[in-house]
Amino acid sequence: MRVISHILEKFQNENMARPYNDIAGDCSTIAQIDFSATGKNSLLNQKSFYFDANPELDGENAIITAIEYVDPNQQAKTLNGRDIETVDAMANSGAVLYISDFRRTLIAQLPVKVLSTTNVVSSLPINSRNGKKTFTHFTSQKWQNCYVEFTDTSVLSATNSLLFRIHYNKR
Amino acid sequence: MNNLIIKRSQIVEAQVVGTPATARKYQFLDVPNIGQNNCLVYGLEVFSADQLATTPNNNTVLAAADIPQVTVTLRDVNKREFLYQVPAYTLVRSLNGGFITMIQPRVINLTDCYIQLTGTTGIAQNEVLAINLYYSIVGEDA
Repeated sequence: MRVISHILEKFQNENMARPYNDIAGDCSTIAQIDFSATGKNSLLNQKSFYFDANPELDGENAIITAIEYVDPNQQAKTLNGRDIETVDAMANSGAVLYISDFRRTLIAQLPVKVLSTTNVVSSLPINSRNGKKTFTHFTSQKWQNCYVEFTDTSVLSATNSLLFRIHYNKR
Repeated sequence: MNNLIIKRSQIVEAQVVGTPATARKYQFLDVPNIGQNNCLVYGLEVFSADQLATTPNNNTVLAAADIPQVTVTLRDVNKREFLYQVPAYTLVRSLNGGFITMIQPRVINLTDCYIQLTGTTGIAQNEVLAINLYYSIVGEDA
């Protein structure tokens, strides 16, 4: 017999909660932002660093079910050979991921550091997620309108990148 | 064991205005859209400076060592203090096994919500307690 409270049943029925060890999503992909010394991705405080367009991740094609920040402990470099910013750099730079829809209406603000699932970070236990992913239920996002902002880019490097793992269900 | 799913979120801040004082109430800064009657808050998560050094508004976030000196009180639109003096430490996800705190969905009156300090050691004027409120919009795709 499975006993479940009314409030928890409501949470599950309305996509507000699910088992923490549940499958994150049917598919997953990587989203990357490369910093640069000049141009649109040059480092500047409170500048918006947009993701490249990816229709596969847009709301009409996908429901984003979880987002992870991939730190250098999980993957040393990106596939194009760039170093990845650490989770501590994400905290110290005030990094926040913004999810927006096609009208650029803000759906969610997510501090980047807490999107990391790893325990293998320098300052345990404060960073520990115990492997738990950040579950989401984003249905109306426009991926090219999603971006990351920083309040202090002095701790970041123009030769580094941000790497996210996006879990999603196809519509 | 369930964990929260984020449908929408908004970072809100309660600022320590003036010289930090024990027991004084520090209200949250207004974010008008959260106070609308169709925004149901169903979860929350506190951040320390270890997770977010400064908020998007450029305010310094309270240090991790200071979080145990803070309590959080949330009021709904009927002025009921439905979460009363909750230790902020218990709302930090990374200190609680990676679980996000879930609450019965309700409309909150953000500028009526406040934090209080049980001590002021290490807390500086104008620092903020940053909380991510997780909410849904009534009638939106479930």
